[in-house]
Amino acid sequence: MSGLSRHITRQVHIAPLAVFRIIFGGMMLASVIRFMAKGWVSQLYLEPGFFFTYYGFSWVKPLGTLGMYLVFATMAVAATGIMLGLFYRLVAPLFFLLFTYVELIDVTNYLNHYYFVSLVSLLLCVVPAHRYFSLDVRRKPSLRCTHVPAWTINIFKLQLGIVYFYAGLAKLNPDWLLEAQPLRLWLSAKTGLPLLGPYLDKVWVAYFFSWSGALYDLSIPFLLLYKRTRLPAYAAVIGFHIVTAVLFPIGMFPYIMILSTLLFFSEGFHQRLLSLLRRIGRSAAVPQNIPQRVFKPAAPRLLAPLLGLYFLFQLLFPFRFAAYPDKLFWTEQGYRFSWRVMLMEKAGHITFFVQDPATGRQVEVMNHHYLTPQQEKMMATQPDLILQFAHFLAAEYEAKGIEAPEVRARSYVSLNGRPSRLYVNPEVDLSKITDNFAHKNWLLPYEQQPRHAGNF
Amino acid sequence: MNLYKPYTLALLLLALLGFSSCTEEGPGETDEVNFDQQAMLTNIGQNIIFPAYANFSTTTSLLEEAIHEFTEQPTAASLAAAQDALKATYHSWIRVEPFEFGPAMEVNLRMNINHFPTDFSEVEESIAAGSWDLNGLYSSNKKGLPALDYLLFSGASQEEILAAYTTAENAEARRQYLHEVTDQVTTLANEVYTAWSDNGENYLGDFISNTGTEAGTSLSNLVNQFNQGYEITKNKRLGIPIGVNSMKGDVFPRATEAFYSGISLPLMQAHLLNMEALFKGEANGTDGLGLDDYIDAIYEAGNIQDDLSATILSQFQNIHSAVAAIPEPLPEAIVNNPDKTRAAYDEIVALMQYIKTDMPSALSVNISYVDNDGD
Repeated sequence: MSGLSRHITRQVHIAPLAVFRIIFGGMMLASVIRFMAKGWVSQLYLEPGFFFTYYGFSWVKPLGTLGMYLVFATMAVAATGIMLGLFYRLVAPLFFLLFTYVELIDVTNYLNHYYFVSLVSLLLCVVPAHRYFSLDVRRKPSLRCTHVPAWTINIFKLQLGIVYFYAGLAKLNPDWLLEAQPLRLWLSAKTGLPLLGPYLDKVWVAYFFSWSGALYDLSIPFLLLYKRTRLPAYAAVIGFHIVTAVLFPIGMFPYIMILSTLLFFSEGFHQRLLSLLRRIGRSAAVPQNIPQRVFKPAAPRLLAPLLGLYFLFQLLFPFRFAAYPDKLFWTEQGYRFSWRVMLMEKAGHITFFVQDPATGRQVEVMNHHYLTPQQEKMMATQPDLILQFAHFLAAEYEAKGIEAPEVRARSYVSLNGRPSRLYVNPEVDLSKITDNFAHKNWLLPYEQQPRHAGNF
Repeated sequence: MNLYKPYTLALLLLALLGFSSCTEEGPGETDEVNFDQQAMLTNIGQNIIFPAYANFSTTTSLLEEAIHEFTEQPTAASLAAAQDALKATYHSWIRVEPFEFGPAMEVNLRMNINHFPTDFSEVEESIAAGSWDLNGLYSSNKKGLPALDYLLFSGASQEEILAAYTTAENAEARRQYLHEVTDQVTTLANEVYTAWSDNGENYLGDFISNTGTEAGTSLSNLVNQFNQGYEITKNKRLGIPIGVNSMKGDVFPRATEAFYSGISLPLMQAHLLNMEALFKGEANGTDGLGLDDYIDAIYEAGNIQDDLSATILSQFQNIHSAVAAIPEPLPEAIVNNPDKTRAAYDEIVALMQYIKTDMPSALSVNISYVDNDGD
């Protein structure tokens, strides 16, 4: 068997896939419950009067109170279904659709790990993760398989590997490596922590964390792949993510990664894990010595090119930033969906001015009349969101009877400890700018700007 | 393989040393942030916030006494005494206004004490009807200091004001209304003060020990409310009255704070001086550990590239002189000297960039008031 086909078609035991399904379903269930318990459904999807949409997805709208809670409740049910492997063929796509729908409602809620969850739940739709150690098998024993083609497991390893490696690549920038930014800002604020705390305001510690973080991200997928390095690598996974969980408010993400990377362990490990689960569950009906049954995908001819395209996209899309001039952190052109995780300290402040061209008079807009503090904060540093809000304001004032209102902005952004500087070109009428994938030349360039806006 | 190991290690160490020595050429003079956050919280809590609440509680009690005397015996003298007590209360309010977290947030202090401008027609309707609800969801525009300002100062002369409480129709209802609004202010002031003191929940102790930078920590509360408090001046004390939100170019002098008593400008000046003192950690003229010292320590470690404290303090000076150039009283200046009020507004706005962008970044605090996941 050639190298590549060994990773695709070779028959391997299904146990790692079943364990991954249980872990992922369980983590998603916990995440959805946590999300609801924190009151975020209402805070993020019901309270705002305005939502920032993704390019091409402006048709995605939040449902009302009942609708949103129903979506989250259904998501919890679907996550449970994934975990138990019950009606899996139905609940896996359902979870993917609901989760992705919720994420598409408002860009200001974008997190890389939500994107990761969307991707993994999409991939789960095309694998037979429910054909072993599941209620579906108990319901319908003919579903049961013991072996699957290796690709059904390796696509998740590849996806995890991409997340880590690209997160590592993203760290290879001058701010991270040469200035230890933003970690020196973030860490020095954490001196109150036990144990590590007293060291965190030292500049060398920030350099150490920056360099070792980059090294970790770049190497961990490979170290997890090889048997000899796997165990120490997994210890590093646990250590790394626990430290990030303690230091930063990143919710469930560290735990999702710690448990997901168990996938890299051997079949035997996963089989032992499942038999442990069986014993805990006192499942009497442990079928012994079942004949080996091999899963055959229904439409391999269709699936192979689709998965190929998927991973091609995953590998190339994060590099789109290279097609744009100016500094990525400043313009954020090509920033999202690229595993740029905890990479910069960026804060902004923006004030919009709507002008009536007929009279030349203008008003200063109070952002908080339309946006939540979180939305306002996220918008202030992200050009496409600034543009969306400017267009919203133009429509708003048009409805108030002003013909072709002009919208300008005075905005300041501070990046990685540098003093704040003018961001959007204050002269530009944003209502006339259309959002597209071209370079946003209505932003002022990153380098060499005067600090002050001049007169408004 | 083993042969290379020590070399790579040494190389890495060298690289690290090289980089850390590089930073000394920049703004950084120290290799760590030399700052005791808890010492700063102790200074701000013990020497600034707690005395401010104590003072607010005292002045409102004095106000209550004066109002009781006035409503029992409305004379020119008792009216003047009540008016003075209200002015003193306004000034003591300015000092607690930036601290809307913990006990103050629980009782929604800002909305209940100083939601301005007051809706005088609602006040008059309530008095005429002889019944009112000062605790309702939409009651904030007919109570608190702005309502008292209207009740005690609106009238062409002292005699006319006095007449409203003696001979006029509904005089009794007006006295009762004045009384109840005052009592509510006093009750709230005492409640929050007690919650901060060790007779109550000792929130002062919590404030000092609640270190860190996440949402809900004292530093995060301080920085967020510093901004919100400052924006009250930017928007409500000056921006809205000078018409920055009016497409027609209208000005709204009546929307200024304490319009009827005519102390809008002194209050705004007091607020801005108070914000500067808070930034410096200054209490009664004594400079203690404040946000400026924290930012200095961060600057000295090279974590930020500009001397932010100096920038902020020098902008405060620009603000003070621009505001001092506005002639009294503010409502008239808004109409007659729009250039002066606009210039002051522009200076006030110019500080926003630093306190809302650079300062939270330097201190690693989020301006968002809510607990949320990041990545």
